[in-house]
Amino acid sequence: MPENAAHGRSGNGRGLLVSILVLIVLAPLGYYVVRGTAVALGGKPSVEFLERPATQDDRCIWNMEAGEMRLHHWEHLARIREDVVRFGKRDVPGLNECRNCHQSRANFCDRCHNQVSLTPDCFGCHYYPDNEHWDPQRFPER
Amino acid sequence: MAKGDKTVETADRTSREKQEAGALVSPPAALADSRDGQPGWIDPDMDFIRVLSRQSGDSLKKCIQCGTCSAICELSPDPKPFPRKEMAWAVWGMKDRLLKDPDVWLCHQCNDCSTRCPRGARPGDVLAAIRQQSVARYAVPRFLARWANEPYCVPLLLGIPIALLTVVLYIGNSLGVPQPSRERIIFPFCNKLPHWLLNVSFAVVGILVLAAVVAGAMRFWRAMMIADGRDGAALPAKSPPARIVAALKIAVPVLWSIIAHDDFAKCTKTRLRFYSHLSVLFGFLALSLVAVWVVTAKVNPLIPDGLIYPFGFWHPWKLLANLGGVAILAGCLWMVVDRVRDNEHSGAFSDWTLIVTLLAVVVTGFIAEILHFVRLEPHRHVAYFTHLVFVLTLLMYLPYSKLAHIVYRTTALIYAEYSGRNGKNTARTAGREEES
Amino acid sequence: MADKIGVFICTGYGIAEALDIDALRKVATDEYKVPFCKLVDSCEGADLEAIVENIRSEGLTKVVIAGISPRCYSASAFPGSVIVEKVALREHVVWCQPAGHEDTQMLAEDYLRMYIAKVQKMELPEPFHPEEMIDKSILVVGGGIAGMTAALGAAKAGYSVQLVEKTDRLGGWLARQHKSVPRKPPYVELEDTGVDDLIGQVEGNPRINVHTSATTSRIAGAPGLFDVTLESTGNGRPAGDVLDTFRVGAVVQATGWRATDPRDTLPYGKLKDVIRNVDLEEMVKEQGRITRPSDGKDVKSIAFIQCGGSRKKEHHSYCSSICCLTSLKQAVYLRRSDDEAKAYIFYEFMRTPGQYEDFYRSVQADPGVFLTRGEVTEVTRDGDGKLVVTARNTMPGEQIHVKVDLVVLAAGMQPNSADGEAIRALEDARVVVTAGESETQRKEAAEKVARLKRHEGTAILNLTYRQGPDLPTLQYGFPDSHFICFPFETRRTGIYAAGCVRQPMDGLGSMEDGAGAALKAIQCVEMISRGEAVHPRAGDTSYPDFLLQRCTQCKRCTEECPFGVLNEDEKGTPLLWATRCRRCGICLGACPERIVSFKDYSVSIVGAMIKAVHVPDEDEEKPRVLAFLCENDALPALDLAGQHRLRYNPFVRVIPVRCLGSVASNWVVEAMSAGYDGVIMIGCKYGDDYQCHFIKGSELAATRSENIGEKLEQMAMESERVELHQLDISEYDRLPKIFDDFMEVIEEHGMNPFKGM
Repeated sequence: MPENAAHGRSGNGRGLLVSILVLIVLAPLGYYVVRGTAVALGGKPSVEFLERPATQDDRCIWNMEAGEMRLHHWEHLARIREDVVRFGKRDVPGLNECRNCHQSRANFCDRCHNQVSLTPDCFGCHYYPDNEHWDPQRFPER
Repeated sequence: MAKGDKTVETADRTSREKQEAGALVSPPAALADSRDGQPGWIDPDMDFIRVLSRQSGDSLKKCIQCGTCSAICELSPDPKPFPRKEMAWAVWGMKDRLLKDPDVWLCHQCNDCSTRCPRGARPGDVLAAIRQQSVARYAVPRFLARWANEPYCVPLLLGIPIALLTVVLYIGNSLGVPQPSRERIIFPFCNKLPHWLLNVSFAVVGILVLAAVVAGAMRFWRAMMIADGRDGAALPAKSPPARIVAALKIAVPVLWSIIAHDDFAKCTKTRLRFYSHLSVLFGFLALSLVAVWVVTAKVNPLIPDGLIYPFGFWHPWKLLANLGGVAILAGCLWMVVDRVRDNEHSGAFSDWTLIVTLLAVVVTGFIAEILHFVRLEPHRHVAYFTHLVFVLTLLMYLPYSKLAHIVYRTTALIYAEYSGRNGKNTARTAGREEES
Repeated sequence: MADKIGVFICTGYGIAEALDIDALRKVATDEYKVPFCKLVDSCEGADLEAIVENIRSEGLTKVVIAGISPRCYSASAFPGSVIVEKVALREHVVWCQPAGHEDTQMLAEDYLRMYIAKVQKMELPEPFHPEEMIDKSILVVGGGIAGMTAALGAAKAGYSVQLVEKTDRLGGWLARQHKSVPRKPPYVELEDTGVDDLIGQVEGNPRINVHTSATTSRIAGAPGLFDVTLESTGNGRPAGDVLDTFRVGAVVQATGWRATDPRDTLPYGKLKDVIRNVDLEEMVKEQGRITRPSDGKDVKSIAFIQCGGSRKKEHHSYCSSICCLTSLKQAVYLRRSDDEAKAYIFYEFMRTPGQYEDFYRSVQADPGVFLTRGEVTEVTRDGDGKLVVTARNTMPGEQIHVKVDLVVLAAGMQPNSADGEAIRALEDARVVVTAGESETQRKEAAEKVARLKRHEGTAILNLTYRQGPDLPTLQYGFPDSHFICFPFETRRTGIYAAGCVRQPMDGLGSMEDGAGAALKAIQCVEMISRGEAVHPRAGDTSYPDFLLQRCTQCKRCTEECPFGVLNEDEKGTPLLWATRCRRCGICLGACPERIVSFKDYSVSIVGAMIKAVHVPDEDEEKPRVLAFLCENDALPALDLAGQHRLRYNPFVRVIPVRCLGSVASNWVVEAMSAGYDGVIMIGCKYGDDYQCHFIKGSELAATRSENIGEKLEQMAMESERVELHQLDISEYDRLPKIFDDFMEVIEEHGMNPFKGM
């Protein structure tokens, strides 16, 4: 059937195309299957997103579950910022207080943010000990 | 099939014998009772013809039953080819016969037949209208299928998911998710969008849809079995595992052939239809998979450490979802171009609603994504809400809209394989090989 | 006035290059001693004018022009008082033979001799004028749409018309229709028939004399002199009363059709609710709605069965042309009455010729009209009084049943014609039954009477022709005509068939037909008033002359004349009605006594041509074959062969004849005695699809050539020396092969032993 062959839609050509597409669709799943299987077999998860607090104190100052924190911390931080900047209310612990327990910005913040392609504005002002761009002259620690 | 043939043969012989005996007028007693509904007794359903004519089947009465369509159809099997007989049945308003006919679904509406019809009848479009009627017959509940085909129902159809989402969000918000009191956000959702509630409600809708789909497919399957006189027949294997193996042996090649677009590849009129459907299908598969992954993340053993959401741009799922969105967008746009270019095939209502809904889903999705990245408030929330509305629309009307073809065509193809009607046109293939 | 013969030899067209012109000239001047011979450069334009001028100045009465084919001259090129014969040196010699060859020269010289010998014998024809004045009025038989259109057309052209209608009012089938199928764009909406307007025009026309409730009980005479007697049909005046007598010049027969009665093969007549399309039409026309004959209830569904009496061996195998349209139209009647009504149409082939296709499409689009191909095998009555139609091989199923209120059979058309020849044969057989000489003769005649009995009392025109009172028919009862070339011509000069009696057709076709037949009738009366023949020898003023003193009353001429020209007296002597004659000369070929002759075409004229050829001695090894070619197809084909430069045998000498039927067997005998080695006759195709311009001529020639073969064997010669071929004008390329093959036959048998005797 030369007519079809000319359009690359017959036999092997089409089979290859479709197989590749199927592989693409299943690729992320495969990634998790491999990783999940590895974890199940006792391997360490390749990426540990959240750094446990250095103080070993399980209680978060915000009194939030880890999962909820992960999903909603920015909303809280945004709200705290609003309160501080617009209303002068400083009664809620903010980002500076986080730093007291979670000391590594690379491990505590950036891993996740990098994962979801986020570059939050927070660290333009706020000091974090391993923030290389931090300029102590301009932003003296409070 | 063999059984059906024999019946016809017997009937023929009987009538011939009668003729030979010179009995043109047989005693009326033999016909005393009404035979309506029995094979061969025709009482045309004119409303059915009118309904088909209102949809894409407006050309059906032009058919002179020359058979050009069946002769050129690449998908039509040798014995009892389609769509000529379907056209004849449609012209004669034989609704029951048509709705039990798997061949209606073997057609992929490449419209090769429509372009070559000498009378301007468009068998491809007529079969599309019949398929829509078929969906309306087997769908559960039926009224939704009726609505899905009526342009004046569009506001209602869109209103339902909007209302549903609004209610879900209202409930979610009043259930005590932290309420920032002074925040000036017009839409009270999205960044306090109760994702879990959304996930649960989508999952519930999904399960209902699945149930409707399975019920419809079973109704359809049973109707085909009865029409073929196979009622009660089962797969030859006795033990349940052997039966499953037997069923898989039939279903898997069919599914692969659907995925591989074997039938689309045979279309000679618009070659790019193959690519457009292929890309929409894979886009749809990709997005469905991503959605299922996200919705079921909580119970997914493969993500022991929880879901990181939203995904980053380079995350495998995000990449797949974006690719899928692009694929659907490209495929749908090509479909639109294809329909606009073909002056005669302007597309039926159900056809356009599906394309438009798909386009709406991906376009709103991309807009929401872009707005999300640029953090445009509150636009991104509006976009996201709209996106969710269209996703829900697509999902909840799946068993009633043209999207139901996923179910019914697959069912019909499996049935065709099961009943030995495998769609191989041996004579024509042989002829073409000789030519080449 | 003494004859003065002149010969013009053309030197153009390559003739001078191929032939020895001097030698050719000597044939005329020395051999035949013609007083005037001149070379001309061509036969056209100024040269032709010069020839005509020469004819005038020299006072020539008979002229031979050796140049181009006679078909290349216009009819009016020469003065009518001069006999001009043309030799096709170009087509029949120069173009098909090698230049400068001895045989070519002999061929050219022989042709010149033949034509000089011919003109020597020819006389100038005098047009036939009967003693009485030719009447130019026209009789139209039949007051349907074709007849009315013919009458109106003739009247508008200034001819007075007698219109005879059997029933008590004009209109025919058109008047019995409720509505007409669409006749104008977009061919979708049913129309009023317009019959009243047409009848009004006919009745209001002062030139048309309408006779209703009348039949033609006698038409005596011939074209221009038809004496018509009208008889009452019993409506108003007692049946058989003579209503009127008058004279007309020509007749248009537009007697129309009747619906077939499909009683034998379909359950028509057995079930009350099975009716014919004509019955349904009448019902709608009368009561405006469709009801069941059995209980008078309104009809909600109808099954139309097409070809109910057409295209079936049991009835007639032709298509009646309008039944499909009628059923579609009647389906529209039903659908207009109720939007839920259903009309089923079972057909074998849906035939809606021409623009009616659009009407078909529009009816087809109606959701309540169900069309299918299929064969209806049964119609039965169901318990509830409805009818069940069973059909096989339909589109929706191998065998289907539909329940309907009414079944309508699309009855076909049968022409209202009479087979004149059969009626005559019946009469003859009756005579033999009573007066036959032997027992077997009487028995055979009785069988014949039984076979032909159905023709008794069917006569319509009641002509006083020897060959029967009506037009001869060919198949299915349609009056014979040459349907491709001259559709209106029948085998009776001056009588033209129009409308459905000629061929099944619709109303528009009938109108066209009526107009055409009226024009033919007008043409006829005009031409015979000038003493000219009508088609196909239009304008020929010669006519046959019978030397009755020598007639033996063998009746061959009266029987064989295809046009019934000759009546007989009691003894069987032929009586010539010259205005009926088409001048084919078949009587000439028929007469064993050689008493029939035309002034310009006779036994002796052709005999002189035969003898004019120089037949070489046996030892010269140059055989000679005489070829009689029909002027209508075979001779033009020979011209075409020349135009295509096809080479053929140079030993053939061609004599054109009016029709192969006009070849006298004597000519063959004469040729054989003159030393020719064979005779070949080429005429038109005969049989059912005959192409003979005189219907039976070539067929008669074929029968006669068998007798000629026997005659040759009596002369101790092989019967194979005479051959007859049928040729279509388009088959010119076969001619060389026909000649060459015949030459081989001659070679096989050797030279004619009579040579030089």
